[in-house]
Parts: sequence; C-alpha cells; structure tokens
Amino acid sequence: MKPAARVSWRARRGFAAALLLLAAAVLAGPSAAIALPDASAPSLQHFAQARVLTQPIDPPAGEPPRLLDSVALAGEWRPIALPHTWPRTVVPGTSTDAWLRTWIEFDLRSVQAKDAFFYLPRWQTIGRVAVYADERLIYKSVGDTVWNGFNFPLWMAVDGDEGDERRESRAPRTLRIRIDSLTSAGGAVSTAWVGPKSALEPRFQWRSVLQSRISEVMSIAVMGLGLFAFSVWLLRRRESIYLLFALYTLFMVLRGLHYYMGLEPLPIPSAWFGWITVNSVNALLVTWYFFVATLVPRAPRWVGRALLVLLALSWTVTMPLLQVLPGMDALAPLSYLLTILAGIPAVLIIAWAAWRQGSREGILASMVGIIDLPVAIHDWLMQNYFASPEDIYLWPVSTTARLLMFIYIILRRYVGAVDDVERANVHLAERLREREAELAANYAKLREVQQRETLSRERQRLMQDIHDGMGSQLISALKVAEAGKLSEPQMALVLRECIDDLKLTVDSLEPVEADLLLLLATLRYRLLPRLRDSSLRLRWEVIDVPPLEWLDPRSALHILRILQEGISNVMQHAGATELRVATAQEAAGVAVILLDNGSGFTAQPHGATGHGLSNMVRRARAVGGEVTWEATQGGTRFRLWLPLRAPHPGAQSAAADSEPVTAQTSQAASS
Amino acid sequence: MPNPPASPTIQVAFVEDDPEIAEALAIAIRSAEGLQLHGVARSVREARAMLALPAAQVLVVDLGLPDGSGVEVIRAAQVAWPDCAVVVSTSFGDEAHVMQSLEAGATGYLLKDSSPRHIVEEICAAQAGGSPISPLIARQLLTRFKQTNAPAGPASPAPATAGQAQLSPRERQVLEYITKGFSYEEIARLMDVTRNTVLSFVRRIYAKLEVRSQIEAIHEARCQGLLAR
Repeated sequence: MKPAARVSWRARRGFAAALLLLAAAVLAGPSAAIALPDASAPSLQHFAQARVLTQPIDPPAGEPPRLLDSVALAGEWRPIALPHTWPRTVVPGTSTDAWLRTWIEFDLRSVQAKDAFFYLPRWQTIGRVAVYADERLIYKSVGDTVWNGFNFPLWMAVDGDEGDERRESRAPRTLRIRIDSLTSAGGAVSTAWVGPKSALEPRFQWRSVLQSRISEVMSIAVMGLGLFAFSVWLLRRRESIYLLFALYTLFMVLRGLHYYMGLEPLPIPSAWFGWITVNSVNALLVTWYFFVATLVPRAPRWVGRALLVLLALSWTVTMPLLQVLPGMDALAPLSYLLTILAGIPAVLIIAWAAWRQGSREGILASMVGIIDLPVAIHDWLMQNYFASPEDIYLWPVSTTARLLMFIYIILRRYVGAVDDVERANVHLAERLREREAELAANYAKLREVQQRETLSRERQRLMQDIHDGMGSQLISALKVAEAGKLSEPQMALVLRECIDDLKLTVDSLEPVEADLLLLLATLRYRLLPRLRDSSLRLRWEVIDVPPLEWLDPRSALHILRILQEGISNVMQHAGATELRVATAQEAAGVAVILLDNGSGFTAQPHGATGHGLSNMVRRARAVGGEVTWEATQGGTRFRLWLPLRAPHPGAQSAAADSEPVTAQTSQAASS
Repeated sequence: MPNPPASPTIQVAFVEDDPEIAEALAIAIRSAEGLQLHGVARSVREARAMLALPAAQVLVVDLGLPDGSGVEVIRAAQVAWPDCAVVVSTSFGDEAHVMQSLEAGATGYLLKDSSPRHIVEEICAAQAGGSPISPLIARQLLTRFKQTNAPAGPASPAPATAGQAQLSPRERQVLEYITKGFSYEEIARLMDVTRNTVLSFVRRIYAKLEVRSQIEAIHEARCQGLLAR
C-alpha cells in the first residue's frame, strides 16, 4: 500500500472510531451524569418505594383543588417499587375516553424535609400532574395535556410557597403526586429524590441539559446549517444534495420541538402539533434516505419510492382535519413503530450499497442511520414504558452525530473543490506553457523556412549574376590565358572589370530606400575611374523622380547591370565623346536616358554586344521595365523605363529571372 | 584650407599587412612627386610603435589587420598624431567599414584597386581636408545626422557640443547633391560657390561626424552609468 493511501485509510478509520466513541459517550453519558453527586448525604433521600392509589375518574375539568380533603384519598393504597409504570395500549382501541387518577405518596418523615427540594426525573403520560405537600397544592402542570412536560423533570421546594409565613412551623410529612391520565395512554413515574437544594440541583441541571436544552441548542445549530445548505442550493440548483439536507434539517427542527415544548401551553392546537412533530420522524427517514442516495448513486430507487409512499400516506391519513383515524396522541407509538420497521431495511440496504461502492461520504452518511436505528428503538421502548423512565431520550443527543456528518461532508466537498481549482490552475498553466512553447517552435520553424527561402533567393540572384557577368568573363579570360594569348594589360583589364562587377554587387546590397538617383549616383561613383581614364565627357542631367518602392537589392542589381552595360557599350563601341545621363518622369513610371554622340550601333543578338543587349532586355523585364534604343541625329538614345509600381511583385519578376536568354522585345531593335 | 601647390613634401605613413599591396602602395608614394614615405607598419602592434615616432601628415590604414582592427589604429593616431589626416584603405568602400572608420576620426578612404595615380590624388585630397564621399556614404551621413536632431533638440543636456554636431543647411545640401551623383565641381556650380568651398564643407562634415560620435559615446556612457553627470 502506498503511504498516502495508508494515511487516508488511517484517517478514515480514526474518524469512524471517533464517531463510535462519541456515540458511546452519548449513550453512557446520562447514567454517569446522574450518578455524579454523592448519594450518602444524610439529609438526602432517594425514594425507590412509594404508595399508590388508583381511581377511575371522569375526564378532568377545572383546576386541581388548592387544599386536599381526606375523602379524595380514600381507597386501597398499595406499596410499589419505583420506577412505576402502568401499560398503554399500543394499538388504539375503542374506549379512548376513559380516564384514571393515580396518586403516588412519599413518606417524608425519615428525611430532613425542612427547606428540602423534591426532584422527580420523569413523569410521563397523556394528562396532567399536580403535587401536594401534606394537603397543600405546591405544583400543577399548566401545559398541553397530550404534548406536556414529559421531558422536563419535576423540581420544586417541598414546603412550597415561600412567601407564605403561616406554615413555617413544621415540615411536611407526606408528598403526593396526583396524575390524571388517559387510561389508554398508560403512564410512568421514575424514582424520586428529596434533599437539600445544593445536593440535588446538579442532578436536575444535568438532566435538563441532556433532555431538553440540548434539543433547543441543537435546533438552532441545525437551523443555521439548514439555511446555509438552502442558500448553497439556491446558487447551485443542480446539487440537490444541499436541498435535501435543508429539508432534513427542517424536519430535525420540527422534531426537536417535541422535546422542549409543552411545559407551557402550545401556540398551536395540540392535534396539529402532534401531527407535525410525530410525522417529522418518518419525514426524517425519507429525506435522510434521499440525501444518502445522492452520495450513493447505486442505492436502490424503489426503496426511496416506497418510503415516499409511506410518508405521503402517513401525513395524509393522520391529518387532524380529516379525522379518519384517532388523534396523533393515540397513534404516535404505532407511527414510530412503522417508521422503525421501514427504517431497518432502508438503512441496511443503503449502508450495504454505500459499503459496496466504497464511497467514503456515503458510508459516513449511512452510519448516521446505523446509529439512529438503536436510538430510535431505545426511544420507542422508553416511550412505551418498556425501558426505564429514568433513561434519557437519545434522539436530541444523536443530532450531534448528524451535524458532524454534514459538516464533514461539506468540508470535504469544499476542500475538494479548492483542490480541484488548484489542480485545474496548475493544469491550465501547464497547458499554456505547452502552447506557448508550441507557438514559439512554430514561429521559429516559420522563420527558419522564411530565412531559408530568403537565402535561397539571394543565392539564386548572386549565382545568376556571377554566371552572367564575372563568371563567364573569368572563364573566357582563362581560356585565352591557357592558350598563351593573354597579354598583361588584357589580364589587368579582365580583373578590373571583375572587381567593378563585384563592387556593384556589393553596392546593390546597400539599402537604397527606393531612391533611383542614389542608385545612379553609386553607378557613377563606381565608373568614375574608368570614365576619367577615357576620353568620354559625362554630363549629369538627372532630375528628382518619385521613389520606387519596389527597389530591393535584387532589382537594384538588375538596374545597375543594365546601365553599366549601356554606359560600357557607349565607351567601347560608339566612339562617342560625350555621354548625357538624364532622368525623366513619365505617366506610369520613370525613365533613365543615356544619350551619346557616337556613331551608333546595331542592336542585334549576336556577338558580345548582342549577348549583352539580350541580357539587358531580360533584366529589364525582370524588374517589370523595358529598354529601347533609338538612333538620333548624331548619336544613340538608350532609354530604360521603370514602372512606379511593380505589377506583380516577386512572383512575376522571379519567373522572368529564370527565363531563357533568347527572348527579344519588339522595341529592342530600331537602328 | 588647402595648401598652396608649391607646398613641401607630404610625409605619408601606412599600415598594411598584405605585402603585395604594401609594395604597390610604397611604390606609388615613392614615385609620386610631393609625397614621401614616412613609415610602414604591418600590424596594430607595429602601428602603435610607429605612432610613438614623429608624426606623419597622412596615415593610410587598412582595417583588417592580423592582430586587431584598423579602427584601433585610427583612434590611437587621433591621440598620438593629432594633426595627421587618416585615410582608410578598403577593398570595396562598403558602408559598414567606412562609417566605422569615419566615426573613429578618418577623413577619407581610398579603394585598394585604384590606380597609383588615383591613390596619390586621394592622399593629397585627404591632406588638403577630405577625400570625396561616395553617394551611399553621403546618404548614410544624412541619416545619421538626422537622428541626432532628436536627442540634440531643445531639451538636450549638452546644447553647446550638440551645436557642433549639427549639419548646417549648406553642408546638408552638399551631401544631398552627392547622393544624386553630382561631382564636387557640379555641386560648386549648382550652389554657386567655388570647388574649395565645397571641399571645406566636406571637411567640416568629417569633423562633425567625429564630434558627434564622441558625444554619442559620452551619452551612451552616461546612460549606462559609466560617467557621473
């Protein structure tokens, strides 16, 4: 097993153990708390025996009398052991209107009863209770007869009304509890304590906390969590788990009322109160089942549906308005029993499904059901007097487990969500980095390709140039030299021409920024030594021309070569004395004009001159221009026309570059 | 100012590592009237030694030397022989090499393939104030000085020196004519001045380029925090 997995398994086991411990503490807590004060105090008496008198009565009306008269106590008293219970009818019968009065008498003569307190952990029935010290009424229950203070201990001063100064002379000798109850409801009374307030109060307080106050506190906490879950659901409607939990908490709160209301008169009719709080139990089972089912998708659906049917049935048939069945007061034990009977298979089925699926949250949530089952059974037994009335109803206490379960699940979801976001961010960042790297690689590749293309074009251009010019010149010079016919001045001439060619090639690489005049100026600068050595007089008559945006190194070299060839022709073949170089702006282009006063020559594609001329034509085409010669009076006029804009930049001229040299234009010849 | 024609002989030294070219250059100088060979160095090291000797009037420097760049020699010559005119010797007169040298303080350049007669002319022209500027270099100079206009504007930190590094309109005009291919004579005619005036413009342009590149170097150093302000 991997360390991480082991740790998480341990954490899970630890959590489960903690939950079990908590459950154990919840179950063991009450007895420990109750055994807390020292029972051997001399002034303290624990009554495990009493005398009882039972009298059938009419349904009680009016208040219990303030003073007892002895007639009321006539009858057959018998000793009993406490706690004392008398049975209830679980399945409601027909005689639901019979009432019973039960007297329970404690003998106070053996106890120091002056300023003592009476503490009865529990009385439980449907009915009312009153307490008499000797003949005097010292307490009467004022709440509802059905949903009464069954979950509140009796706690009072034995000598009653402290403001009454007449009875301070003697301590009471007997204490009697009068319980008027519905016969079918049965009843229960726990053991009782009489003793000093300081000795008994901790017992009373602990019991109050564990029985009723815990229910109030938990209700508030549960309500808060429910509101939170409901708000989450409002924002995230798709996550029904939050709505289900909100409903679950709603029924928890309603059910909780059962344990801390009733000491005072109820705000709503007794029947409705019973209908709501008793039916809340099966509603709890159903909402809990659906809540767990969202965590355990494999949980069988039919169980949920069956529970829903049961729920609907239970809520409808017991509705006080309909009155199809006797009131909830009589039905409650049966209703609880049905819920328990339905709950046992439901809990086991979903717990098994959660275990099979291995969902940690599902197992945890179904564990709540597993805990709740014995709790429910215990509480049902207690409610029906099969368990000691001195026990504590465990349901309010087990709410703690439900809360912890929900908090744990929410926490896990929250932490999980945060983890997911973090992971997603990391993933996103990684993806982004990958993409950037990809993009950079693509870009680099593209640049490389472009660079290769540029280099290849440049190489082609220079190769072409060398092939046309210097290369062929050097080779023919070599042939002549090998034949031993090359004189030194001839060799110097060939080399000089080659160097001049090279210089123009170098110049063509400089940026001329669309400036044709700069190109012409460069040519003049390069030809200066040769012009100076010749007898030709140069007249520079250029004017400004618009920029030629298409002028790149490639086309610059073409233009330089054309004009170099043109001027060279004049110097070598025309026998001219003067060369005028001019520029002119024309409709869609500019012209460079070479005007000499020589004898003229025939532009024919043969011999060295012819080869040079066809090269000029080809080069002019390559830049989208044209060359013409025309004879003038006393000379030749050569004209290079260049367009202002390249008609098809790049492709067209590149194609023209590789064209065979044999092409001739119609304007090329005119002598 | 140009020297009178009957000037005493010009002392010429040169730095050149190619023995053939060095030989040709030596012959051209010796055989020219009015020139005298002052000294020859074949490397940066030898050139530094030569600069310790009495000054020549013209120094011809090759850029590609076996133990370093001729630009170092040009800078050293500016210090050791402040009155000496430095001329760069180059194969093609290409912009990259020439601009570098001009900024280091050279006032002209000659092409290695020039005829001996032309070489002598160039040396004389350099001694007289400045050799011809090629159109491409002129264009480059115009661009360089245009760029200075921006940093040397009203908010410039050093207006006094900035003024010295600005081209006057006439100097600019000379450079523009050069880029259009006109010769000094033609420019003189077009501007209605003498050829000597045009030459003096050219001389000033060379000087300003050097000043400008020094200002740039200082500015650069300041920007990089090498110099306190």
